Amino acid sequence: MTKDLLLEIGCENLPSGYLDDTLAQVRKLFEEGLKTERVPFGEIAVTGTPRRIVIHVRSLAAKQEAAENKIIGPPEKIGVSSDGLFTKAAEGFAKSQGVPVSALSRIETPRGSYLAVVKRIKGRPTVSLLKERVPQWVQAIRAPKTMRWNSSGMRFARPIRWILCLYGTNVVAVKVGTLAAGRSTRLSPLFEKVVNAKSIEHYFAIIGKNGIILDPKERRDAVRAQAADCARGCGGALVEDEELVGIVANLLESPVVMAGKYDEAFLKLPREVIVTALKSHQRYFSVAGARGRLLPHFVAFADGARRNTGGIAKGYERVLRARLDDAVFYYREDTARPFEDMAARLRDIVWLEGLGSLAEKAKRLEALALWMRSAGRVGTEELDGSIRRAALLAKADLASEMVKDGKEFTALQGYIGREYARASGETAGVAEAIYEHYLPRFAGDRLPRSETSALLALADKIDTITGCFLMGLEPSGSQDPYALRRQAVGVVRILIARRARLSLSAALDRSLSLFADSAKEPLRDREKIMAALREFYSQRMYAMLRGDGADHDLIAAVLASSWEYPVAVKDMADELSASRKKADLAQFVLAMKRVTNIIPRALRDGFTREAGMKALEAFSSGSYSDLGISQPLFAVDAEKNLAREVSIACGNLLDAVRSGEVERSLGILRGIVPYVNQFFEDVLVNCEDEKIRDNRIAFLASTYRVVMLFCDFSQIAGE
Amino acid sequence: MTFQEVVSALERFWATEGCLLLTSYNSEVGAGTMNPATFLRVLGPEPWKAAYLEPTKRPKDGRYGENPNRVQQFNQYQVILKPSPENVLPLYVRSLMAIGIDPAEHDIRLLEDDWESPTLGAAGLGWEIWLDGMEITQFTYFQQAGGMELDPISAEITYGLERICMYLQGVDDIMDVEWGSGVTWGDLNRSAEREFSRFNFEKADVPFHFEMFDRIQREAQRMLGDGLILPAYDYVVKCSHIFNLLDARGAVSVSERTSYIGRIRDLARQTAEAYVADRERLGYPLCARGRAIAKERK
Repeated sequence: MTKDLLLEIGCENLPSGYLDDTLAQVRKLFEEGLKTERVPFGEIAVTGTPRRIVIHVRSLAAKQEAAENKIIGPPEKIGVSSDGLFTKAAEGFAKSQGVPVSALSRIETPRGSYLAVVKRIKGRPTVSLLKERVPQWVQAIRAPKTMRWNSSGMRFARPIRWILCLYGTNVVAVKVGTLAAGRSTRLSPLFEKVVNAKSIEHYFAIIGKNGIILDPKERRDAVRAQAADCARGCGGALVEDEELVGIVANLLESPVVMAGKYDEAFLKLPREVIVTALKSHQRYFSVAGARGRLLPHFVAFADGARRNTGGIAKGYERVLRARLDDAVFYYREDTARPFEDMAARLRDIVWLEGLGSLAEKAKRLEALALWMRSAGRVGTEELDGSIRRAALLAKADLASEMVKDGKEFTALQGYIGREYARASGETAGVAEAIYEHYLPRFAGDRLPRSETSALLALADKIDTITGCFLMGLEPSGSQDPYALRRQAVGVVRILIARRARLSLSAALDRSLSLFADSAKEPLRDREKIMAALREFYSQRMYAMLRGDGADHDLIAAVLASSWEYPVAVKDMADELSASRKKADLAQFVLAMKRVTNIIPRALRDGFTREAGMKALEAFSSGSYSDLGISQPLFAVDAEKNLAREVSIACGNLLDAVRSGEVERSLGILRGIVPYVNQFFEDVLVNCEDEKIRDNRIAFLASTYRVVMLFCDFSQIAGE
Repeated sequence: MTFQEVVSALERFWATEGCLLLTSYNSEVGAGTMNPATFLRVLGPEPWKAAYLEPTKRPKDGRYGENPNRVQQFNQYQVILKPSPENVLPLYVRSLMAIGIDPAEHDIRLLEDDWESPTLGAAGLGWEIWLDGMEITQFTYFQQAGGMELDPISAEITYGLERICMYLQGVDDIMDVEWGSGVTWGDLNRSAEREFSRFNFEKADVPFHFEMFDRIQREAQRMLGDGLILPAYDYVVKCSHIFNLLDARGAVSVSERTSYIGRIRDLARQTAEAYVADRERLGYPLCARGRAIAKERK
């Protein structure tokens, strides 16, 4: 026999941001809980509003399924003597399980035959089980912040005020904390009035009749559709905002839309200032007319129908006016003087404690961006003027009334800077760079467009990361208060998208020097910090490439090389992935691993890019002696041939490395594979003659260093 | 309803609900929470129900009396219910009805707000309560005060009286709120707003106030040493106000800020701990008193 189960947990308003996760947890707890308890059920629907979490289980069996519990004892050989009698061991086991020896049975296992006790567990009635389990499941719901509200010891995001629990038409007398479940619900925790549900159908009828939409998705759909309708009614179109739809939908349970107006004079404010004033505090939607220009209308939602809609809308308008008045006040103050004057105020604003003012940060931005412009051969010197100007002004809006001191408009940093720069007569390029130097702000955000913007965006992020590492503020675990991980990914994405031939290590080194220049004492542990920074960017690249679908070992192999350009890392990982797909990676990797494996560990460690480049150049010019290799000591044809081929390959590689052609580089390396294999067939590296042996090892070690410029093949698995 | 009618309606309502009607504190506070009737009484196990008007000073918020919404001194109506009753939200809604706000005609909304006072080492969870989009009340379930976990939990209801009156009277400028008998808020307070804004932002003597802060902190510490808890708390509150004043004056740098707040919090914590120990030593008089009254009523 089965019946439906309904559980409603009535709360004082839960935070909007908690709701979706809470419902997902509840579903999991109940679904898994019922399965673990062996109570068969049909479907389970978990819905909810800020004031109620509703669990509806269809066709829940009235009884738990029976089960068998096998307890394995001693092996039969030990438990039963040769004459077929139970031994002391068997008696002891039976006693420990509280059964006579006659109740023992034999079971077969992969390890042989064992004595066992098989206990049958009868199914309990579901109702008595629920009384025990439901309180545990409810108390297992987690929230980012929880509270106590009475002395029951319960913790939850907000107080739980009532529990309704029906199995069919009967109340299940569940007790959660000090609350006993009943059949009554409340339309709102704001009122004491309760309504009794005769049955589960009756409950849903009450909810429906009062305009409460239980399902968050349905609520979002309703908010979206009503808002769009209402905006059309105002003669415009809704400024769509899915984030706002989500917030609004989880702030209420019966959305009632209403339109409001504000004074047209406010439209002189920058668009995003208005949209933000409407959204961030009041949770109103903006309305736009032709060509996306704002209309002085807004769309807002009340929770539940009220008698006095006009009065409520008037209230909404009045509050908004006060907020927009604030914005106008800030805007007037800020634009009364040239934007440049604001940059001067950055001297008095601390950027991060111990790392000086924002003015000093702006100075470093300028220096680092200019250096990268020339080191990375990005554009020409003609850019330097706009880089200087944009760097000077990039942070100036942080001194503005609109942005400073952490308020709703603070999120508009960069945007405000651009608007003020334009109003103050700066060039379009400089204004745009002020906005774009914050890009990308989140995963999937667009990247800066112009070269000036990109250089400034790189400089800002690299500077922030370096600074934080210097102050010991690097991320740990889930803690990343300065969003350094996101910024490192931003650096890498910009460099890759622009195919920049800018050495990241050199840029990091430059950034450290800029901090060192202004520091009162020399930087401590500079080498250690440099290594930590490189490792940090490597990890971000690893995560990014993994996210793109590359195999773990291929990325690890490339990142273990002495890479210089993030774009080369990505290209190399792509090439290796393609090669693996074509199944021609194996022989290549095998040959390269033979080189690696024969070299003593001491020679393998501590390779650097400089050592690799030195080997590459020496091989290509045939200057073996620079690498400590004596050509006359090569005794066997196979090694002479390999040396020749490596020399030729290095000549070509030098060119390919300089022009960043990864596919070509790999092709060249692949060309020496037959000679490597022949070498290992014919040559005994660890021969008797010490001189010849050392010479061979020196040769292979230099070859290894060249290969390590591209990839550490020894990290590639299983080929 | 005039301002004074709102206050007396709230007083009548909460007195009927069993609250003691107390008076405001006699030193500058940034919130009704700092009145010992809240900060100290929420500590420990003794039941406590109180309501009072609290003039609240926030030097930074002054606008020389020229902003329709912002002033450096405004009034809170503070209600503290310990332990927090099961029906505290419905009670609150009924209190709104007592001042003429009919929930059937208004959009009353609860927006999550996690309250925290770094200077008091206090924190709680609750909401800002909106009336047709305007915040009129701060509602908090206290979880911690003076760095200590609280048990029982108190509910704190803080009404923003000026805002409520602006709404009830349909005026857009705080100065136009009628206090009573045709006299407006502005008639009473405009000069104070002008003068205190000048004082807070331009005139307050910075070295003098820094010195005051140090000396008052030392005095509070000395008093704590002598077991004079309530006098010590008076001085903790003074420290807090002087800090707010220096902050408005722009005299506290970002790095100093944390250390000043830490100094006040440290005093607040010590005071709270001493208070709890003292109430325990006294045998929690209000616990016994509560039981005696309950018995009498039966």
